[in-house]
Amino acid sequence: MIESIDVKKCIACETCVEVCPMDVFRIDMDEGHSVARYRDDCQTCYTCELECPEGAIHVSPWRKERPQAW
Amino acid sequence: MNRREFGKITGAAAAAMTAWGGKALASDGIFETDLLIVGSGFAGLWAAIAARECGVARVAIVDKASIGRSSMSSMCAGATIYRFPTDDPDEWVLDVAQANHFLSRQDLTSRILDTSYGRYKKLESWGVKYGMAPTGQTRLPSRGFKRLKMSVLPTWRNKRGGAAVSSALFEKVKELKTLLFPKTMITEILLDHGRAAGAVGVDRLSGETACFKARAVILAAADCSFRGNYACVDQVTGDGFSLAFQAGARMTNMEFLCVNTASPSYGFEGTGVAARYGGRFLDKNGRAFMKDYHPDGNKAEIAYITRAMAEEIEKGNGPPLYFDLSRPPLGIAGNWALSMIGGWVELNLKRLREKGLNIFAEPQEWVAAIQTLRGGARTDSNFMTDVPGLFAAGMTQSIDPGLFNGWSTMRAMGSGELAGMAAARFLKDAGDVRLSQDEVRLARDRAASPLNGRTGINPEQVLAAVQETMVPYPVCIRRDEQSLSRALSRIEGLRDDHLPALAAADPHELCKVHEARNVTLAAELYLRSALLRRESRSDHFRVEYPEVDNRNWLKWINLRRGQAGSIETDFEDVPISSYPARPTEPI
Repeated sequence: MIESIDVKKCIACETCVEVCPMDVFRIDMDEGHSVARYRDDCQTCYTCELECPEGAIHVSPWRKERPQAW
Repeated sequence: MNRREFGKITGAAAAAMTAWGGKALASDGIFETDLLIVGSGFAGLWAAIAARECGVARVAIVDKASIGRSSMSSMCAGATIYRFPTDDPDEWVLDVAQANHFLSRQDLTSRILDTSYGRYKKLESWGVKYGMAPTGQTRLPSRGFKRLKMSVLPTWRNKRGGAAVSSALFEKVKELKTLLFPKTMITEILLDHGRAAGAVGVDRLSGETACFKARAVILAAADCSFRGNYACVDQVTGDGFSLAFQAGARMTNMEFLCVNTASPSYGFEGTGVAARYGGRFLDKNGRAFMKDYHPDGNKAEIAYITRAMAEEIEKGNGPPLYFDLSRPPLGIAGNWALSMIGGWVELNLKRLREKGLNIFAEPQEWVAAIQTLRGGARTDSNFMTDVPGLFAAGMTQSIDPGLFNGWSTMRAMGSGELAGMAAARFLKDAGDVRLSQDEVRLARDRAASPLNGRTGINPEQVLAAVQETMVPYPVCIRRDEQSLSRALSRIEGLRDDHLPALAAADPHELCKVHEARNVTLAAELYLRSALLRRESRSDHFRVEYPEVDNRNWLKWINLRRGQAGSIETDFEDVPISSYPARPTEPI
């Protein structure tokens, strides 16, 4: 899950908005940085953290609980 | 969406539009192209490169996320099977056929293998380098195959794994001036007298519709995971399946749902590799059970492992079940070896360590994890579906039911390149297409109308309900008539009662509305096919019919959209007598 976005580092470049397969991010135009608007949809693939040019996003390895096969 | 907004999102699109002389956008708000490619994993990117190199003037790629940086291809380890000139072609085709229990399309398998070394050399010339496994081998055997070998650990510039190959392909795509439309989800294929003529989609940021006129379309939009527990597959929601099916293409092999294994609490890639180097599956008492089920034990194909796990549960030996990665050499070298994959796998291991969890220190709770529905659009030997001008590649197309290390990546790259070449040949003779303004208007309305402030059902409800229906092991692993029928009844209820009332509060939810429709359809196609196949083969296991039945079931089940929402079925014999590889037992 998205653990944190360092708003001091974020330059609102929209990279996370574009690359997130789950469409989690939006740019808060008033605040001038990225926000995890749809955080519950995160699939913990780290794509945002790996692609962020400023190293502003930190992903936690824990995933949201899912129904199990048994 | 107006052109300025599109340009803001897609800088590359703006550049390519200039390359096309600014003629991409017609005055009626329709983007015109020769070839539209839906999806930008290995298949979509290879298709674009091949089509441009074959002289197709205008190629556009559309993807619901980014182009080339968000797909399963960019998140996988990147291990890929290539047949080198020193490998025996006949033995390899036989190996693929045997591993797929003779349900593979041997015509397509041969073409993909025959052309694979060419792709290896092209990637090499574009700067991709495959590496050496920790064992010192440059090529590794692939689980499930006897002879096929895969090249591993690709790198390109500062990237590793599937992301390295994706990035190299994307660089080539940009060099070849392809028009790019990221963050756009295609919702419908447009037809002109039965021939593919374009597509309509919605922009994921604005919710506005986009319309494409195209003389040919390639679907390369992955398969369907039902939000199973496998890592990094939630975005795979049957979009390509739905587009193909609704356009009139037959879908095949839809009963083959591959279930892998995973941790219930964190993502993990590399179970197959870990099992090869000492990983063991344990019951709740710490007993390794795989030897009871398969002579290959923990190294058996994944279908046998998940089936054994389900049987252990039925015997009361779990939950929990465990995967033990602590024994040598894994306990010592595993962390290093898996980190070599790079990308999210490396970062994930690092993050787990930071949280105080060393997964190589003690057995980890492990569960079954739906990974992928192996079915897809049926194509002819030129990768064209039953719909003229509509091609399918990658996991949207089905050519075999199995899932093996390095084979899906091979299939995606091979079918992508060959579909791109086939589409180029088609376009040389194909005339123009016409779009009916009324049809375009109706398709745009169908795409956007759920965006109504959510005066209806939240798509998350349906996505969760399909997930809960599909995940229990009697539905996805040890299937029987009763469990499948009950699940189908639930899916039909969602289809009839919930889908018509889906509504979205914003553009993000609008795409989830379409995803909810797509996964519901994929679930229905899976359950109907699984009920029909009364035998067990590959990833399909029926409790009442546990054996392979070549006499009656050496055939494909094809499903097609019928009148008034019905689904028509046909059974197609595998043309085994005309194929080079055949079962040894009598048919």
